[in-house]
Amino acid sequence: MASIDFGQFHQTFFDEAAEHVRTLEAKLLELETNPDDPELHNALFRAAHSIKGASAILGFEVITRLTHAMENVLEAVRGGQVRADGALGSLLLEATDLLSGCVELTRTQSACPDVAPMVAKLERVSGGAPTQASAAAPAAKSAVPARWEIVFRPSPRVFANGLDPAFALQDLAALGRVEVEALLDQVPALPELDPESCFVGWRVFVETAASKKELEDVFLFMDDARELRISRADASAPPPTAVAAGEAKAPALRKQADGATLRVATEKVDALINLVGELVISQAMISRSLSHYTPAELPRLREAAEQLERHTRDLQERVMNIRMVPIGTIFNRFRRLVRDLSESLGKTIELDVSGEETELDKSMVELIADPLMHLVRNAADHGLEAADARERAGKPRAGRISLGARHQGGNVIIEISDDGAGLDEARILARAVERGLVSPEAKLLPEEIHELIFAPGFSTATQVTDLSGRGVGMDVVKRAVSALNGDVSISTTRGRGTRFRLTLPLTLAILDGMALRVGEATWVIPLSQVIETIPLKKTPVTKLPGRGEVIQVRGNTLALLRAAELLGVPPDPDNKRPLAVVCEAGETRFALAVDELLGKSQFVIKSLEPNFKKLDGLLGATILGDGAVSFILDLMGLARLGRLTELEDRATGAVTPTVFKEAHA
Amino acid sequence: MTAATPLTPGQQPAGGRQVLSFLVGEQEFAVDILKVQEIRGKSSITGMPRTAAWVRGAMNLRGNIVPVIDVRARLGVTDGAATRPVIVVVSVGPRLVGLQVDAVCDVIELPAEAIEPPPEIKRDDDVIEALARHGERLLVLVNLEELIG
Repeated sequence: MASIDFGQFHQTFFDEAAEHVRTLEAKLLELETNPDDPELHNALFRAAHSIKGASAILGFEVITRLTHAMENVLEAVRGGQVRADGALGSLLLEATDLLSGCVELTRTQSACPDVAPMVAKLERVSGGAPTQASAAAPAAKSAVPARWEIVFRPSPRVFANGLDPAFALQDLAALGRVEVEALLDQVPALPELDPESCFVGWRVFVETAASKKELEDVFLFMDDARELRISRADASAPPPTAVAAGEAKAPALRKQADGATLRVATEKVDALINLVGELVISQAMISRSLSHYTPAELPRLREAAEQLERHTRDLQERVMNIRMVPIGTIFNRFRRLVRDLSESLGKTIELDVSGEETELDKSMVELIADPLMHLVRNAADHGLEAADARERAGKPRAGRISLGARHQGGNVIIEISDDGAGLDEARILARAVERGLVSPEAKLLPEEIHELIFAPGFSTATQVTDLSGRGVGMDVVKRAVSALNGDVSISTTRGRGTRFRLTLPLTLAILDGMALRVGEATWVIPLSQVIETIPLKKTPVTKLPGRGEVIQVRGNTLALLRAAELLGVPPDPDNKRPLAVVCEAGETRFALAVDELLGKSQFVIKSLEPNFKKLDGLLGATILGDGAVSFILDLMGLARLGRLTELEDRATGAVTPTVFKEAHA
Repeated sequence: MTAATPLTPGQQPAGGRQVLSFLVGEQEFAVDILKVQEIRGKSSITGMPRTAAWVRGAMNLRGNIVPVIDVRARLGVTDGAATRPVIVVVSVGPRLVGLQVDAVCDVIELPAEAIEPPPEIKRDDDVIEALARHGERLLVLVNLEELIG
C-alpha cells in the first residue's frame, strides 16, 4: 500500500488544533458561570474530540492520549455523571494549557512533556480508566436491548463539510443489529440533481443496548442535519422526542484569525482579483496613450490616470480590510488571565469586556497584546485593592476591570479601567524622588505625577509578587504603544479607580501625514498629532535663559522645539516664512519650528528594520513621489529628546513644568 | 566535494577567496564577493538625523530603505575625493547596507597564499580583516561587520 505523506496535513492540523484549544479555553471559562449549560458541554466535547481524532490519524500520540482523557471527562460531564464545578474547570484549564503546549512543541518537532500525571488526574475524575467508563455503560445496557427508530436526513451540504453519512450508518451498525431503508422521496429529477449535494435520507431500525445518548452521539458532527429523529420503536417505548437539528445545538463556532495564517473570505479575494484586473487595464491604457502620444491623447490619458488612481485607492482600502481582525481575539485571552490573576492574588475580579468586534490591523492586534496584558495585570495587581480594603472603602468586595475598544475617527481607542484605589500621587512622587527622577522640591501637576509611572524603572508595588518584579514596567507599555504610533493616557480618581486609554492608528502600513521641509530635506509627521500651524514671524518668541524658547499660542505657553536643531540639519537661513507646528504627542503639547509645510498626504510606512539600528525620534521612513526617501518623525521621541535635559533639571530642583529645554543634538 | 559543486553563500573557493575591489582615495579595498548584492551608480540619498558623521543617509532600493555609509569618512580617508561615487550594496547578516566608495575596480580571485593577517597594530574598531597581494597591488580586505558598526 502506498504510504501517504502526511506532511501537508500537519499545518492544517496545527492551525485547527490551535483553534480548538482556544475554543476549549474560552468555553471552559464560560463554564465557570454556566456550569450546567449543555451547549457548552457539547462544544467542549466536540473540540477535544476533534483534536483527538486528527492527532490519532497523524500519529501524535501524546496529544491523542491527553485529549482522549479530556474527552472522557467531558463525556462524563455531558452525561451528567460529573458536575463541572470550579475545581474541575481548573483541572480542565490546566489540561488545556498542557495540550496547548504539546501542540506547539509537536509543531516545532520538540519533545512533549510527560502527560501521564495529567491523564491520571483526568481519569480519576472521569470515573477511572476509560475502559471502566465503558464498563459502566454495559451494566446499564445489559438490561434489555431496545429497538430504536432513527430517521436521518443529512444537510444537503454534508459532503462539502467533509462528512460522509455512510460513516454514521456504519457507527450505528457497530452498536447493534440494524435495518436500513433509504428515503429517496426528496431526490430531485436528474436534470435538477446537483451531484455534490445529498438528497438521500435514511430510516434505520437499530436493536441495541446502547442508550439514546450514545445513538445521538453518532450524529454529533452532523448537527446541521435537515432531520434527525431518534425514537423507541418497541412497544414499551417512551413517547418519541425529537431533536430538532440545528436548533438545539450551538451555532457553528466562530473562527478567529490568529497565528501566522490569515483566513480570508473568498469573496474578499475575488474582489481583489477583479480590482487588480481593472488596475492592469488602466495601466495598459496609460502605456498605450504614452507609446504614441499626440496632444489629442491628453484627455484620454488624463482619464486613464484618474481611473488608475481610483483603482489604486480601492485596492489599498480592500487590502487593508483583509488585514483587519476583531480585537476580541486578544480580549478573550484576558478572560483567562484575569481568572488566573484572581486566583493567584486572592482577589475576586470581574472582567467586563466590550467592543470585541472592533477591528484593527492584524499585526497591530498581535503587537498590542503584550502591553495590554501588562496593563490588565497591573490593574489586577496594583490597581484593585484587597477585598477587605474594598469593603472598608464601601465598595463591593469583587473588583472590576473593564476592557473596551471602539473606533474613533481614524483611531482605535482601547480602554482598561479598574475600580480600585486610583493612583497614589504622594507615593508616586515619593518613589520618583527616591529614584532620583524628580527633585524633592519639584512642584508637579497631578498629571505630571501620573506620567511618572511611565518613567523607566518605576514601580510602586511595595511587595514583589509573582506578577510585579518581572522587570517590565509601565515604560515598556509606553514604548510599545509609541512604537505603534499610538499613545497612552491616564485618568485616575483617588479611591475610585484608574483608566488607561490607548489610542492607536488602525493600521501600521499607511500613515496620514503632513510633509514638511526642514533645511533641504522633506520630513513627514503624523497628521493625527498636528493641531495647528502658526507663522513664527508674527509670534513673539521668548528665550528663557538656559531653558530654550517658548511661544504664546492662544494664551498657552508652549515650548518651541527647533526641528533643525533636534535633527541636526542646517536650518534654512533665507527662510522668510518660518512656521511652528503645534503638535500633541502623548500628554505633551509643544511647537515644532519648521521651514515650510508641503501638504498632507498618505504615506506608506517603510520599516527601518533590520537595516538600521533603533533611531530616536524616527518612526520609520517613506518613499516620496520622486522616489527619494523621507523620514517620518516620531514626535513623542522628539519631545523626549527635547526633554532629556529638562528631566536633569528637575533632579536639580528648578523647573518650570511646561517648558522643555532644547536638546543639543 | 567536487569542483562542480556550486558555491553557497558564504562559501569560498577552496583555499582562496573571490573578492570585489574598490577604491577609496588612493587605496584599493576589497570585500567578499558573496556579500555584494549589487552596485548602484547615482542614487538619491536622504540625510539621516542624529547618526554618526560617516552615515551618509538612506536610499530607496526598490522599496527597501537602505542606509548608506560613506566609506571615505568611515575610514578617515582624505585624499582625492571622487566626483561620481558608486554605491556597493552589501548584505551583512539580515542587514542590507550601501557602501559609498570612489570607484569599483575588479573581481579578483585571491589564492590562499596571497592573503596575510593585518599588521599587529590593533585598534578598537578594526575594519581591516586581512591584507592581500595581487600582482603589484596591495588590497585591504575589509571586515564588513566592523565597518557598518
